[in-house]
Amino acid sequence: MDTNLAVQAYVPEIHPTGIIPYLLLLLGGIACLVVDAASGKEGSRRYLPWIAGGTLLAAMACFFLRLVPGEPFLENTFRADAFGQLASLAILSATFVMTTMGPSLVRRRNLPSGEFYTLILFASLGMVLLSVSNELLTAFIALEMFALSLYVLVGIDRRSSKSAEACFKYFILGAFASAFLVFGIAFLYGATHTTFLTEMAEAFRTGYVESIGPGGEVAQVPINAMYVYAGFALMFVGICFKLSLAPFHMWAPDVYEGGNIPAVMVVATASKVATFAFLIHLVEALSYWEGFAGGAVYIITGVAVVSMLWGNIAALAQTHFRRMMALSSVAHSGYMTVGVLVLVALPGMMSGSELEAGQLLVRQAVILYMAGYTVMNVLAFGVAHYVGGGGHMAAYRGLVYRRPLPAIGMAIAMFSLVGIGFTPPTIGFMGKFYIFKEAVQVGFIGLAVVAVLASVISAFYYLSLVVTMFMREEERVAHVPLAGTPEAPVQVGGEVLTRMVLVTASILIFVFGIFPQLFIGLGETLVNGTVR
Amino acid sequence: MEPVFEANLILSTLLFTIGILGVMWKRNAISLFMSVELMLNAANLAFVSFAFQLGLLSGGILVLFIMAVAAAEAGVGLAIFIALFRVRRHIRVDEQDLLHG
Repeated sequence: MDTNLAVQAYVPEIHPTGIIPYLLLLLGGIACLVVDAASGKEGSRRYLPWIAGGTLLAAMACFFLRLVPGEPFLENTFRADAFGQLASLAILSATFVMTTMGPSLVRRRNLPSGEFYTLILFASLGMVLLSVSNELLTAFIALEMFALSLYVLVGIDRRSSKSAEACFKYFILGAFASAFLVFGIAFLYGATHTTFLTEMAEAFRTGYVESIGPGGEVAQVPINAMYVYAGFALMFVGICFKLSLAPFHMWAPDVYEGGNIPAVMVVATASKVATFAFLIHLVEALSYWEGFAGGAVYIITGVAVVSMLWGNIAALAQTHFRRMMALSSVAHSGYMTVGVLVLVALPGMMSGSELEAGQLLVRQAVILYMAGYTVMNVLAFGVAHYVGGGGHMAAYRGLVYRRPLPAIGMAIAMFSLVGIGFTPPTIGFMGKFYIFKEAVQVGFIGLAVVAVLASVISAFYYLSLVVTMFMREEERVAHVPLAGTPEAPVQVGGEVLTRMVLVTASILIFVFGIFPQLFIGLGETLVNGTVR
Repeated sequence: MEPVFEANLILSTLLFTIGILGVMWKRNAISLFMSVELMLNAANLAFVSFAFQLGLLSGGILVLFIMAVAAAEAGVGLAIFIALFRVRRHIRVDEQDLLHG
């Protein structure tokens, strides 16, 4: 491993094929802009969803064709390990589903379709770049790229008062979080004299950094502990905002309620996957420093526990479907943070090849959870978009009698989101099982118990939605139009494709739930054999 | 540690803190956004002073990128404020309460 790093330092690997999927996304976005500008009144705008969807599928195919190397490429700027590649696939799938939902949304709300599809592609470019970036400046720019696109996508329905307010809140808190992130990067840069995560890991392993004195002489100076703590704390606050982790989650319910469903779906799934992939890479580099675990464990444990408990307890009281999903996503971010915590603690317990094997297991558990979370949320939001009905929970009364298939899809998503106890063959259960198992193995038993208890609380509100769907219509609440009825019509357009995607998501929940190794094995296959 | 370097770092931390307080206390969206810009520029100052102290060029280049990102953010942000103003006729932060649990 060490010799490998040394070789890379002298002969930077370029791997020009690695850039192809990213270039494709950029060109696809520009193509959408050009087609939109060139088409007249209606003209060729109807091809836009096909361009966007095709670009996203082509970018996914690049990963399957093994064009992206598993080792650092483009002078160490990007590192698409199995974890990063699977995260990229999850992100691209979620944005692809958003594209399939696009036509019905654009037609119904009369939205500017050129901007809509362009921004989807730019957002996915930013997210896949963030999930594989190995350099903090690249990561920051990738993060801003998708964040700025998502702010606009959330508020693209600008005639709607709620949508404008959601967009405004998302923007203000997102920009605030970015400032924390940049200030943190500045301190980490000051501490380690580099912005490359692999070089940072090397510096943290030795505890010393090279410094050039006034006379040009190179000296080894110890890493400034205060800068590292300040840098990580600031960056973590910024990341917590982006992930809607508990003390910094207040924007999430408002944005989820006010934004349009396709955009909210991507905010809930793909943007979280990308940010988590970055957090994992960052924490892995920092965890080699022996002084790190002592302070960071308390901060991260606190955030994880508060997120899991508060997210689930607050979700109990919600009557709006998307507000409930927002708080449930706070809790799910908390569960994933347990995986980050294990990663922080590992280097203090083992070393060498044992440590590498341990880190691999944690990364696999986290990516399985993230992919499962993505599939479940895509299914839940997809059904909500498909059946319409405003989003009040009462709108789902008796849905199973009017629209049996979507209702069953929603029920599958809800059972999988509970993910503990009586739902074993779903991916939600397997993801939680692997993460909690890792936590118990490194000694976070109390934390695992809290996580399981929080999941039990979550069963109440997820299953109450399932019960609502099986209620008869006679018990309906006045003034709430029922979903899937002429009062809240089913949104047609791209309907076949959306339906196919939702059926696929329902099947995937069970396939990956019963054979989780299939998914993890996919990551290994994508990475091995790419070296050329 | 040179005293100039330390002074720069303290100044940037101070600017960052002023920015945070501004975001928390200001009620007008524009002043709030100015505070966020202040935080970003505090980070820029920290980058430059680190780069100068360490004799590295990369810190200075980072600042250029961050300034570009801040400009893009300002562009999107002001557009969002205008969109909000059109539907609401004001952009006071504490009166944005259409969405609630």
